[in-house]
Amino acid sequence: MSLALGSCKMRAMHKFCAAAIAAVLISTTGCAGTPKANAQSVGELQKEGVDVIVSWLKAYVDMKADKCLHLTSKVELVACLGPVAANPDEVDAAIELARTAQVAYYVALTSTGPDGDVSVELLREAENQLVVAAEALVVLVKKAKGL
Amino acid sequence: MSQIIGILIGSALEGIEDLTRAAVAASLRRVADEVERGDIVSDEAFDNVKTTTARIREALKNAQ
Repeated sequence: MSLALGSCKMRAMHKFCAAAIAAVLISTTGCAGTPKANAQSVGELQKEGVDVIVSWLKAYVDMKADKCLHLTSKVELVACLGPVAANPDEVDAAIELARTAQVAYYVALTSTGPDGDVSVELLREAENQLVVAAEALVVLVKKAKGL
Repeated sequence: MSQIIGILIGSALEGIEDLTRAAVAASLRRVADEVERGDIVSDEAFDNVKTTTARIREALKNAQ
């Protein structure tokens, strides 16, 4: 299991690094340095970061489901699934929090103020929401790892 | 003119590997001041997890 997850993590990290390189490339071409361009780079990078975390969660709950869902005793099933997989509502809630925060960031990024540019305040608020949501996902991962 | 450039860029993109193509496409969207939801929101990753949490939820409901 740990080898499979490690492999998943390596592939996901490789993708993250590739995406980070792409984001740097993107930010150095076109209209580099504008508030919107910088915010877009941030948005793309956070998405890649969230993808890595959620891919890990996906591999983890899949592993638990494969290992445990044959059990019919609730006590045994809950014990086998562990503190994260046994609480699918908590997992879904963390995911929806992240999705809401990302959508809010997307809306802030694509909305323009009276001066025709993005609202820095809206973006800042949306970015704060992203941080909170990402932290909630990391808490899940730590709980799953027993940390 | 922009149509010609679009055709030329489209042809050039054919022969470039995925990552570079994605970077160039994103850069072009940036110049056009566009950002797509898919660049910012992890819908696919989220929905993938929820298919498994749904299975687990069902199993927990049926367990005795």
